[in-house]
Amino acid sequence: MFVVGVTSCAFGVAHTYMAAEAIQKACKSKGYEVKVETQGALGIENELTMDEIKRADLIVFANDVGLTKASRFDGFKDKIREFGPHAVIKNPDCIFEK
Amino acid sequence: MDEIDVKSVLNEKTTVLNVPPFANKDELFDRLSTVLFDAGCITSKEKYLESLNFRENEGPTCMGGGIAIPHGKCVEVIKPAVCVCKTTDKFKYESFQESDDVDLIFMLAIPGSDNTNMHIKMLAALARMLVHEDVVKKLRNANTFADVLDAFSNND
Repeated sequence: MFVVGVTSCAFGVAHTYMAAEAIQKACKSKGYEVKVETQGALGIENELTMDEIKRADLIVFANDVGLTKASRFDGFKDKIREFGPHAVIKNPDCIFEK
Repeated sequence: MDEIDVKSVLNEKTTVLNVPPFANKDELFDRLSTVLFDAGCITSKEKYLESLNFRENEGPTCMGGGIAIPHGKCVEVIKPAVCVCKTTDKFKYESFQESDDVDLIFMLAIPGSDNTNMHIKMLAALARMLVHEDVVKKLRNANTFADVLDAFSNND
């Protein structure tokens, strides 16, 4: 299982990075491979490549502001799950719930 | 993220441990803003409070698990800082239509004009650490500033 994620938030300081860490932690505890891109006050970090987006089994968006470079995800709607960063921080395992 | 970076936003003067629970969020904000002002991190308590409350209107800053991360960004912040506060008991923290009983508060002071991003990086790294139970557990058991530094020095 390979999970990729993108996180962002209004201020780009706390929630963006906490949500990214929460996703990583939740995936690692299940033994999944994971990569999370952050779109915060520091700009885009750990940017997902097209290969990674294609290869991912699950794409998690944890954002409450619009994503940058969103067109990369066109065509992968069926494996995208969207959350608010706050929800992911409070209950990271929600990303796996059906 | 090494220890020296953590230390640059943590400060014994802005670490408030084992204080009685606050009556409400306003009382907490007032107290911690005073701490940041007295430590020379902000030049106006009033403006900083304004920026904290502006952020509160954007979304909740209670993060679950008894943790709150209120943050204010304004030009009156002259020294980026984290005010670390631990109360002896949990108290009700109402934030943007949510409410949580909190006892660990990390109040971020972010300079309004940030050219280097250095302190944003540090604050972001601190925020990441708060996701980990072992860090939070150490913070909850912290009795001294050294304990707080030790908790944040622990990263994987």
